[in-house]
Amino acid sequence: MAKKIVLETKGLTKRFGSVTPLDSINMQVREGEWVAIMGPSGSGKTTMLNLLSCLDAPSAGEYILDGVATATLTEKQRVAVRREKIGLIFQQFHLVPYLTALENVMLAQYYHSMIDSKDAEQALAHVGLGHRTGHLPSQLSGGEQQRVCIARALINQPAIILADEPTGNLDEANEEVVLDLFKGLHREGRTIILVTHNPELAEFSDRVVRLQHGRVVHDESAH
Amino acid sequence: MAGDRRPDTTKTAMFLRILFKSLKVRKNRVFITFFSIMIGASIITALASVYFDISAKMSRELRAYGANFFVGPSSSGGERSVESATIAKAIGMVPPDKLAGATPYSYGVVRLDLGNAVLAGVDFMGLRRLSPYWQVEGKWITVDFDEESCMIGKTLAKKMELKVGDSVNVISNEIGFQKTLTVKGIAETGQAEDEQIFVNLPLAEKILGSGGRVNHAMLSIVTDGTDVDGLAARMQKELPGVDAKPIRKLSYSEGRILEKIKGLMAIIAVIILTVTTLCVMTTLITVVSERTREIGLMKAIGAEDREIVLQFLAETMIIGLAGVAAGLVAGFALAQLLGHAVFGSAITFRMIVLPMTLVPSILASLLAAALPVRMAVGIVPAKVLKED
Amino acid sequence: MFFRMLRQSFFRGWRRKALATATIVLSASLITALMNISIDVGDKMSREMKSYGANINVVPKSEAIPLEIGGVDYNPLKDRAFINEADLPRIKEIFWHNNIVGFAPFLKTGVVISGKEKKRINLIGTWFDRQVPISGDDEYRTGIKLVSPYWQVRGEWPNEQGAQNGMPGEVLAGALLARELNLKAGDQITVRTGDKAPREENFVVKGILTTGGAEEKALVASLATVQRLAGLAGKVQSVSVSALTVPEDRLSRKARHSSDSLDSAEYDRWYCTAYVSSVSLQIEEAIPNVTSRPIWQVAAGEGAVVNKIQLLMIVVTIAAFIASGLGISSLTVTTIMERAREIGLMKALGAADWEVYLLFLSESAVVGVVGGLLGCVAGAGLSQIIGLSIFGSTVSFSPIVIPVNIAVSVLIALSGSLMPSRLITKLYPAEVLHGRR
Repeated sequence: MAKKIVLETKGLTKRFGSVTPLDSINMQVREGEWVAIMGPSGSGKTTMLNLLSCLDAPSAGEYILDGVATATLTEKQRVAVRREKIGLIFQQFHLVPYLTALENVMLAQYYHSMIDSKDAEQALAHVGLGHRTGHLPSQLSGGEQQRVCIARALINQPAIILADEPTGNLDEANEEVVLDLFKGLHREGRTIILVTHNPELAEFSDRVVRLQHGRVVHDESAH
Repeated sequence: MAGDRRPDTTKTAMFLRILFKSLKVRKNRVFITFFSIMIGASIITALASVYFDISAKMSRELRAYGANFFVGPSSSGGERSVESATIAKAIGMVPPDKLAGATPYSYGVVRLDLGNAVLAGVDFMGLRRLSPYWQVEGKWITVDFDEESCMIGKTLAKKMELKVGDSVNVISNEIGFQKTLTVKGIAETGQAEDEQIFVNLPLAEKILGSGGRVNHAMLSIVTDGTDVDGLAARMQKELPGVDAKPIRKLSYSEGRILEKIKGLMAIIAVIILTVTTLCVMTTLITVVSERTREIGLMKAIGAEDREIVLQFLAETMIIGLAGVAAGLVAGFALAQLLGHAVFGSAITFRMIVLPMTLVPSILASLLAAALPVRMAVGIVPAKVLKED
Repeated sequence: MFFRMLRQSFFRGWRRKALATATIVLSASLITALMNISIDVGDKMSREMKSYGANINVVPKSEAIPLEIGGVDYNPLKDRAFINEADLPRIKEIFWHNNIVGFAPFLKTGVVISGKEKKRINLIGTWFDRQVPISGDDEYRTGIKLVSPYWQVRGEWPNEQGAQNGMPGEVLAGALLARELNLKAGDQITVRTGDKAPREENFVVKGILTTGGAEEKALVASLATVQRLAGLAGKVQSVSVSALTVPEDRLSRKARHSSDSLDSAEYDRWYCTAYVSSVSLQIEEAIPNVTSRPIWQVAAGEGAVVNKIQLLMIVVTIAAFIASGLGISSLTVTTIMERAREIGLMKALGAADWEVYLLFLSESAVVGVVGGLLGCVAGAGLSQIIGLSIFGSTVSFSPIVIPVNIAVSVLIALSGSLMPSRLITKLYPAEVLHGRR
């Protein structure tokens, strides 16, 4: 019994002038899948992530996310898609420096729909930060900041979670903690797309997509 | 989790929370923004206050030129003198705070030891304020009941071989009245006064036997805010037989000079306004453009452009209002400093300064915040988020 | 390496730096303009003050005391002394000739108008606007229009020559006289002198004169006309001179008290400064047998007002200095705050605090010098525009403004970078690099 397809790209292409960092990507991701996108620097990983997260519009091709064809949306509509369907996790965490951990999570609620501080507290407790809700990002360690970022990505129940090198700025101990969180999310049945060049991180995914020179050179289930 | 979501914080509350958090935590930046807006606003306030007061102040300074208003017998009547009571009434018609000085003059020819001279009876207290330009060697006569002293013009003193402290006999040719007076001061003006001898009005009356009449009066009136022509017309209407008129030489020049000074001040005020507005704007642009990444993040997690712009403008507005309020106070203090340094008197506060400071300051801050926010909003968040 | 870093930092942040430099340039140019104007405003305003009329009165040396009340002479028998009209151009040839704005001679004679013989009136002769050839300037024009710009004529000014080609001569009637005798522009009058050998001449009234002074009770005609009527060819009674002077100060007051009390150095300084008293002394020396006296009403009043305006400009310029200084400082503070990360990196790589200071201060200094220089150029132009629009003449550029301006620009930029430098050298590099600041 195949699960529903949440994400599908058909001939997804991005061009910047004469450069084509991403060339005709065809890919399907089913609900609950954990996909790792890998590749060396300059292979088009970041461009792909920007397109998948609707931060950027493709030059050609189609991108259907949770039943919505997004390729031809306006910037304003793409904002709405990001808000409703995508949870973003960054390598540099990107927390608002003057808001506390809890408020950073609430910020996502604020832009999404309504604010429920208990819900946000729960989300922080879920990533193991129930005791640090009132701290500013500058008072948190890197691992803690990343966990706030994860809690923020989860708070609106997105259709997919897009993570860009989530452990890139972390030490080993924290990498472990974050990895465990991702495993947990996977168990809960979340759809995760992880962009990384760290093979260890890819090891736990269901499927690895390898990019090279903007094309998919390898796409297979890891297990 | 999704099903039992109930809002426990309203959107507005969250908006305010973000707003005040941003102000509270980013103290350094907020302070600098506040500071630069305050400086700008205070300079605008100070200059605007000075600008609106400059006419009044300079008009008072221009009183250094002496009398600018004449009251005398009307020429058509053929009279050469007026009742001193009438003159006093005319002087009384000038608003006291606008009258810089005034004195009646009563003239007659007398014989001194070495020859004839013109004697003028005046009110020395008024004359001194009327004619600050008199160059006096020795002392002014300071009391109006002094009937033993006189002041004498420089040329006359030289011809009569008189020095300060000497005695001089004054003899009336007509009624034979004689009196010995002490020369209290020798005055130089470069005009007719240099050949005249001055005594207090009551003494002049005794010497000349003029019987309560004087030839004319000279007044020094602060022209700013006074309708001098209207005043002259009113005097002529209410006091028949009196000719009242502004002295053209003075009133014409005063208007011209006040105009120049006002123009100068206006240009300077505009210049300084530009400089400070520019500084405020550049500072704000830098402070806001620092936050491109933050704006990118907000967009990435689903903020609408409108929401971002709203938050930044609200933030700037709060700092701006606080800055302007502080600037108004500081600026008014600065205006007082300016007023005391230059004119030795306070500068009046005018309501018009309030909007004049508020509007450009707030506009400049909003514009300064809007520019980089617009720029940042136009940026693709992917770019700023990936940058180190 | 240091210079390389400096250069690189300029190219990297050129956008911000351009913004900062542009602000400094603008501020510096405005300040330059202000300084220039406040230095020149004394001169400019004292030229404006010339509208108050002459500030020096030149009369012949005479022993007699005039007994005149309200324009009526009670001592008609006094022996009269005169100045030769031919000597007048010398006034414009003294050491301070450039400061002599204009001069106008006067000659007065008592007359009656036929038909109204009861009333004795003064006929005043003067130059209205006459070309006076002087050495060095053949085109020089002067007269009462220049010296007393407040003289207002309803109708026309008379011509300068007097009666010609059988046409009647032209006069102005004082406003009071006109009202009393019912004269208006265009009227024909016959004027007769009151001497033992009376002379008569016909005139046409060209205009009615308002001055607010004794002239309003008199007739005014060209000097030549009055000389002919009075039989005093080539003579004048007094000359009003309008000169640009500097306000009185201690030295000039001391000189006035008695010029003997000055030592020779003081005397030279007094003589070579355009005080109203020294200018008037030089006129006295240039023309034989005259007394030249400052009209203190104009001279002292002008001093008081010009001093005030100069003070006002200086105080305002200082205020502008402080304002733009603080503005630019806060700008520099913010541009440096932005670069906390870069400073953290420099420190992490082992830069000592002083090296960080040095880089930032040098950057500010460069911005300050460039901004100050460009500002001076722009400001020089701006001050001309202001001068032309307010005073209708260009403002002289004082070279002192350039070094002062550059020094101040650099100082402002430096002080602006010192504040945050202090703040930032206290940072721990680790904190900055991990984005906790």
